[in-house]
Amino acid sequence: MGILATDRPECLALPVRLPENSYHARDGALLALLGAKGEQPLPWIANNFLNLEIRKDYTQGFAADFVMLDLWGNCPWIIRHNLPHAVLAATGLDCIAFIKRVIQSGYYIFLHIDRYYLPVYPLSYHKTHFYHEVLVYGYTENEILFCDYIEGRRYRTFTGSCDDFRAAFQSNAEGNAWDYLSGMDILELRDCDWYAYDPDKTIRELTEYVQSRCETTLYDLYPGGRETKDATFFGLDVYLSLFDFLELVQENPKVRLITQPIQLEYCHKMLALRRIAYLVGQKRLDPSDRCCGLLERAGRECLLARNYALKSQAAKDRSALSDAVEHLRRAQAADWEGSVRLLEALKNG
Amino acid sequence: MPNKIRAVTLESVGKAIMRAASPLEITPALADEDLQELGMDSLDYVAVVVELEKTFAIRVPEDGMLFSRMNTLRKITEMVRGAAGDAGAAKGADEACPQEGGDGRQWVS
Repeated sequence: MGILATDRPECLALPVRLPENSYHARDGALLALLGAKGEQPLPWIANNFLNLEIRKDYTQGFAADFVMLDLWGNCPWIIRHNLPHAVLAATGLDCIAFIKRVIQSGYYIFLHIDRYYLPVYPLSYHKTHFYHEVLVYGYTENEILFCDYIEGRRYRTFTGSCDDFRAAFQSNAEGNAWDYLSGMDILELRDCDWYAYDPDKTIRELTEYVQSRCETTLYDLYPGGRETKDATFFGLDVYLSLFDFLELVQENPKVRLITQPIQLEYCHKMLALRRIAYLVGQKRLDPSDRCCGLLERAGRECLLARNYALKSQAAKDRSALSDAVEHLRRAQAADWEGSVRLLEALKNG
Repeated sequence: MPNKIRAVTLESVGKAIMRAASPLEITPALADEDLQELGMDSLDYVAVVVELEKTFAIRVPEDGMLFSRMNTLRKITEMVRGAAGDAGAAKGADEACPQEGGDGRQWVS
C-alpha cells in the first residue's frame, strides 16, 4: 500500500501508509502514521505489540470486546496534544475550518465521530448512534479525508462531506461517555533518530505473553474499564477466552457472533512475523530457527480461524464455527511452542 | 438444488464471484488478473466462498479458504472443479455452451 498524499491547493493530504494487517482503530492509526516514516520506526514496531489483551464484556447483550494495549503514549515518533471540546467551543471556530487549519499546519487529528451521520459506513450504522475514533489526514474543498475500518475489513481510507463530518463530530461533542479523548488529539509526527531496539524489553514482554500476564501499565480508555479486570485475559490465555466465547456462541443463539477478537489475534500474529523478519534482518535470529516456521503456522491458522468464523457469520451457519475452533487450537499450539522457542533463541543471544 | 450442479466454468464462477462481491466486474478475459488489484479483499472472498458452496454444492477445502492462494478467477475455478470432483468433465466446459435455465442461469444435469 503506497503512501497517500496530494498537494493540490484546494485539497491537502498528509502522508499515511495503510498497514496491511490491521483491523482496529488505535493500532491501525498508529501504524498508518508510522508507515509514513518508512523504515525508521521498524525497531520500535518490533519492540512493541508484544502482549495482547481481550476483555469479555457481557454488558451489551453478550458480546466480547477487546482492547489492544494502548501504545501511543510511548511512541517517540508521535506527540499528542489534546484539545478538549470545551476549548474548541470557546474559540467559536467552526470545527471543519479548524480541522483544515490543523492539517495545513502539518498535524494529524485523532477524534471520535458518530458514524450515524456518515453515509460511507454501511446501512446498519445509520440505524443507531455509533461513536468511533478516526484518524483525519486531509481534506478537499468539500470533504474530510480520514482512516477507519468497518468490522472485519482492513483499516483504510474514507471520505465524508464537510457537513456530514461536522454533524458526526458535533454529535459526539454533545456528550458521549465513551469519548476517552474528550475532544481532539492533535498529532505531531516527527523524526526520531535515537530509538534503538531493546532485546531485554522483548524478552520481558514475551515472557509475560507466554505466562499470560501483564505488568505493563494499562490505560483506562472506557468508563469502568478496569472494574471488569476479572474478565480480562492476557497473552496466550486470549485463546482460552476465544474458545469460551465461541462455545457460548455455538450453544446460545442469542449470543451475537463477533469476529473482531479473532481478527485481532490474527493481526497480533502478523506483527509477530514482522518482528521475526526484523530480528532475522538484524542477524539477531537465525532464519532456520524452528520458531520462524511455528509462528508462521500460527499466523496461517489464525487466518483460517478468522475466515471460518466469517463464513459462519455470512452463511448464518453456526456449526461451521467448529472449524474456526479447530484452527484456533492449532494456532494456540504453534504460537505457544514458537513463542517459547523464540524466547530461548533471544536469551541465548 | 438437488441433482443439478452448475457447470464449473470461468464464466459461471465469475458470475458467482460477482453475485457475492458486487460491484466487481469479473469476466473470463480477466481470468489471470489479481482479484485484489480489481478491488476484492479477504472479507469479500469469504462471501465468495459462501456463494461458491451454495452455487456449486461443494465444500471449499482448507487451502481454498485463503484469499492469498485464490487470488485469480482461474485459481478459484480450478479449486471449485477440484472440490466438485468434476475436473475432467468440466475441462472443456469453458468452450462448451451449458444449458440455459429458465431463470437465465446456466445448469448441467
